[in-house]
Amino acid sequence: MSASQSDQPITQIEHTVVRGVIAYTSKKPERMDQERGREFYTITKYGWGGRTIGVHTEIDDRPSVMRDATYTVDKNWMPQDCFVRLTVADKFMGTGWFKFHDDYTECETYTALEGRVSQRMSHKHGSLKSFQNHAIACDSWHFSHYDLSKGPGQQSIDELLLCSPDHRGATGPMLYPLRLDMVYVGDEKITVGAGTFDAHHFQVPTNTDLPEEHPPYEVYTTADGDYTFLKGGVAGYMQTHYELVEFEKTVG
Amino acid sequence: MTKPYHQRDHVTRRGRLVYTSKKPDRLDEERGREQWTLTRHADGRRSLMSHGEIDDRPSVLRFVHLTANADWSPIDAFVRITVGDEFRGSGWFRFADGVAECETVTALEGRMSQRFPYSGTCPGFGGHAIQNDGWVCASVDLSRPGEQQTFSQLVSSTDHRGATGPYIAEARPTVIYQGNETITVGAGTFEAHHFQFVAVDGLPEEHPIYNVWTTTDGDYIFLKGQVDGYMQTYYELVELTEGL
Repeated sequence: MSASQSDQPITQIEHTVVRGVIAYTSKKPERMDQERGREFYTITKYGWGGRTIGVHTEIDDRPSVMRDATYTVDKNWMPQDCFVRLTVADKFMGTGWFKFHDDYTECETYTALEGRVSQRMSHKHGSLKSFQNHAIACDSWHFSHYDLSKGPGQQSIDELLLCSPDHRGATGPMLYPLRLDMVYVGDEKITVGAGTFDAHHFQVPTNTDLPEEHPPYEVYTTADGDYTFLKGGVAGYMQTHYELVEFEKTVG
Repeated sequence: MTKPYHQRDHVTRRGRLVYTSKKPDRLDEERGREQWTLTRHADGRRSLMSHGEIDDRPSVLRFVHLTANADWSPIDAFVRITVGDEFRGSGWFRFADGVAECETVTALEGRMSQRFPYSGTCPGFGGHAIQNDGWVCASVDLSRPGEQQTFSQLVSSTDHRGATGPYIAEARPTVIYQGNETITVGAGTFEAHHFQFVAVDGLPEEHPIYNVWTTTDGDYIFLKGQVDGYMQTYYELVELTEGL
């Protein structure tokens, strides 16, 4: 053992860990504020700035959707790799792994409908900026690519890849390309179940690139640079609400 | 309250393990932790999602996902590891009849596709989450207490801390089922199966004796465990949350 090694502490904790719980409720008049799902997540932020989230999602609305995802981005929020596993109506739907390279993304997947599939999709606009794995906790990460120095307005991610074009993410997992428009409304202080936070307020306008038009989506994230999802809601036929109800730093 | 438009056919359990040392100079010092979610579906399939942290230098951070059939034969898995706070590997495993496949990218080996044949269904998989060790015990025949039982398992790494790969390797643990006892851990008092891993063939370095206690409720939840020899590590379930 070298002198420099022996001088080092026996433990190494260069990362931080946060855990959160997001409650899914309905805003339909006949189901107002009823719980309809939940999400548990752990985010590890490495000493070099990248981060990995492991997230378990349950949507109770029949047919139920259960999704486990593990997704990693680098310090610039650029996707590195992702695992997604889907259960629909308590039956296996699919399991897949995504690897994001500079010029292309590959997907190795096995689904109940498509069987074993290997996909390779070339990027049309350089390195992929963001990936939609359908965890609510990761919806807010897209907005890390909004240039806040330009103030409120609308900006776009020209090429986003999804693991499913279904609004609930209940197909695949397989690659699907999309353009994402992002509206920055401004900053405000908001209170959610997990506490009171300084927040960025964003919107995703109606998206017509999907097989079915997605209603507008309001998203509030923390303003501390971590883009932690605080609350959000989808209008139109969905009338769903999502809110961070537990949040704690466990390491670091 | 569950309404007709709800579907909750599964059971979810969440747990937290603390890793401590039993070395005299570090006695009972926390040296890592693990948080997991277990889902049991109506047909008996189980999924485990685990996040583990080993603080001992070089640190190991691991995300593991494993799904098994009601008979504990694995269906698919994912392992992602960070060693010394740097990326080490990310790999996806699928266990079909007669063959396991692995699609992985690692810092040392690069992008690899593996195929590993076997007869019938895959006997079991170890992704190095401590809770996954509890599931390995499901391969032990409880009708043969006191006997040495050796069986095959695929593993994501042959390193004792699981700090290589991930890729497919084979190990053959020899385990003695020592019977049942009532034990108390941080998460409460439980009826427990006691297993003793006396050897593991297939590893480059000999693994010390490893005692493991799991629940007797069929979910093989890891309650406590201790590795002897040079490791002198101890693992204990300190929180268990039932249901939604």
